[in-house]
Amino acid sequence: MDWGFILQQIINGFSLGSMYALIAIGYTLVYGVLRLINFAHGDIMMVGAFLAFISLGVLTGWKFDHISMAVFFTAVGISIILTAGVGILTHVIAYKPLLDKGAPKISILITAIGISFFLESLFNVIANQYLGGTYQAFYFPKFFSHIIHIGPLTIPVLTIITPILTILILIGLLFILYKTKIGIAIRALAFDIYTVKLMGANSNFIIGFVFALGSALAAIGGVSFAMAYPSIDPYMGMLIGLKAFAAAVVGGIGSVTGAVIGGFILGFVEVAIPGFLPELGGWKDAFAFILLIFVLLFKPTGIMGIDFERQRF
Amino acid sequence: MKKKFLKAGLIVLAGALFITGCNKKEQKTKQITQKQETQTKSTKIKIIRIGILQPLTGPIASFGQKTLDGINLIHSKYSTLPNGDKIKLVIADDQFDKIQTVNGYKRLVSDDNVAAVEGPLASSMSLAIKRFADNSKTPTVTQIATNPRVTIETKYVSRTCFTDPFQGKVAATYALEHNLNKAVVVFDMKQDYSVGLAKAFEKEYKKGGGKLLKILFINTGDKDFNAQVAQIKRVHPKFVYTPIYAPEEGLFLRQLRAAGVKVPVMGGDGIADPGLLKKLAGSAANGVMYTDHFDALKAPTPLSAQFIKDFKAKYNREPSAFAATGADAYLVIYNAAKECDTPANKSLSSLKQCMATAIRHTKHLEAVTGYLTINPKTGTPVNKPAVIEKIVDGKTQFVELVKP
Repeated sequence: MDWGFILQQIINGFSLGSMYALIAIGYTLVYGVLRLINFAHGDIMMVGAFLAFISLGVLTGWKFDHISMAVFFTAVGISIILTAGVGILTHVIAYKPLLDKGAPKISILITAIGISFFLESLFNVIANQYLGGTYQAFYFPKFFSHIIHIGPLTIPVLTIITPILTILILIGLLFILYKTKIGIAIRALAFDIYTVKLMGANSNFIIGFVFALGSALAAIGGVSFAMAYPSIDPYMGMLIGLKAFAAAVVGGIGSVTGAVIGGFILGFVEVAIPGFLPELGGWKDAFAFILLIFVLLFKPTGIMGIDFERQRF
Repeated sequence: MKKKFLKAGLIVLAGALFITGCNKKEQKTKQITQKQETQTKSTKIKIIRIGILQPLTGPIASFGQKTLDGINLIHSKYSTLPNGDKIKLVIADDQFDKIQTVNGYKRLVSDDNVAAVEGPLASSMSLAIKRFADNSKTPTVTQIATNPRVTIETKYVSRTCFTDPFQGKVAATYALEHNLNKAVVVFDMKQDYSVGLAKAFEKEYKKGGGKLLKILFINTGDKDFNAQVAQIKRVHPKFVYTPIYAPEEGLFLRQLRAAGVKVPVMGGDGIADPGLLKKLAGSAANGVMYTDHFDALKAPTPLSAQFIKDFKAKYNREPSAFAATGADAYLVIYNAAKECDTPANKSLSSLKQCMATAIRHTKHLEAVTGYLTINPKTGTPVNKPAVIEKIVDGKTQFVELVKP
């Protein structure tokens, strides 16, 4: 085993892990505030990727030969804003009425699964009716597919950009959560939603903001995935969403830093298994979930986890 | 005395009833014969429904859509039986999902009362409905499910294509003839089609003296094949055989070529979608080969020449193998309906029974991909040739025709 090979695997792990982390943050934020596992979050990521693809198509007139950076980032920006809107919409239409009526958590969970199927079917129809097929190729500026050669290492530009982006987003998020007024409100809401309401804070606005934030990050995650594996389909969110959820639980659901750590761990496992034990390569999905069970056996609240339920009562 | 009178009265009454009953029966049979006469005079047309169960959405939706184009075209030409009865298509979507396939199949059989079903397209899906076809005694013709198990141990499921042992042999023979004697096989372990075809290739390749360096597997829906690619790179094969489906093949090719592996790659009919491959793999799709059922350049029968002409006129492009095989299975069902739609098979169940037998005894039927003769025991056409195609600049190029 040479060092170049190991370094290569570490870089790949960082890249994959950061994508999981971006999506896991969304799970963790919503769980922290509402104690709700938003199972539609993986599909929100898919929506982000599709909206980026569609806006790119509209901006370039469906000619993807030469995409300039400016056009690409405009498309991604549009997708982030629209996906945040979709996130808020799912909350307002599906979750809020149930929460207001004091429905049991399990009903809201089932609703989330319903939303997940709805989004998958909706984009299945859109893809088949208007885009000409379930599977779409994702296009991006040529710069991102450049490969840097350093000795034995082959590093696609993308695998450097994504982790850096994720770390920057994490710092920004921690800044919002700990240094701004709305961040303090979010943390207060996570701590005790009823008291915060009694204090006169606009809890609806704060929850909406949390959904928007989580969905925007999912959109970024979705675009990163679409760039790393340039094929998007309406069902791409299912497995990736489940794995990101596993990452959030491993890291300790409710903790943003934990979600990022969990995402990186999952990314490394998924790269290391096929990299070092190639015979088991086809089983890499199974290992993600075996890891989940293993961590929970020893630390039921996850690595950075706080026992939310017990803390409250 | 009173009792006797009563008895006599009852007997008379019963007798009267019996006689009138007989009369009614006679009247009824008269009516029926009249009806049949009027039917043959084409005043009253019977409608025979045929279920089309194909993946119209889902991962391989493009396969199903292309098949449907072919079925619609051939149905527009052959929608009336010689006796004037009409054939109506009932279209259902199997979504390339076993549960949806079984539900769709049951709905076609029990709600829509179809006389026969064309489909499902994929081997896994055809295997999923096999038991239901037997239980409901519904003749089912799959146009492209190549796994041998689909049509054995059943009297009702037949196919109009070759099977994987032959397809695997064609690929193995081609590779060995071109001196590509060190190979890696990559298959999808979630698909019966892929597992079967990989085994068939392995057997023939080893028999022909080829050396199998590695057998790797993937899962349907995978997007990251770097692990498999890294292993392929390490063993330096001369040939990579990929009996998987097109969505995975596209990304696999892209990652394989990006890693600098430049050896020839060949797949089965599961990747026969040049448009999708080009979309997903870009320039990496260039040079990939696959075994297929039909090439629009080689019209084997007068009917297929006409079909290709009509297809171009209607859709403004050449028919794919999916369209051709879709039309084939329809023709087999149509032919059986022609044979069985007689007054003797008035009820749906006897019509279905007759059609099931007729489909299995199809002899030298002129179809789009050639003349079809189905072996009654195996439910598979005999002597069905295969073509090898190559993708060049996103378009298919004919390589060779292989006869069994």
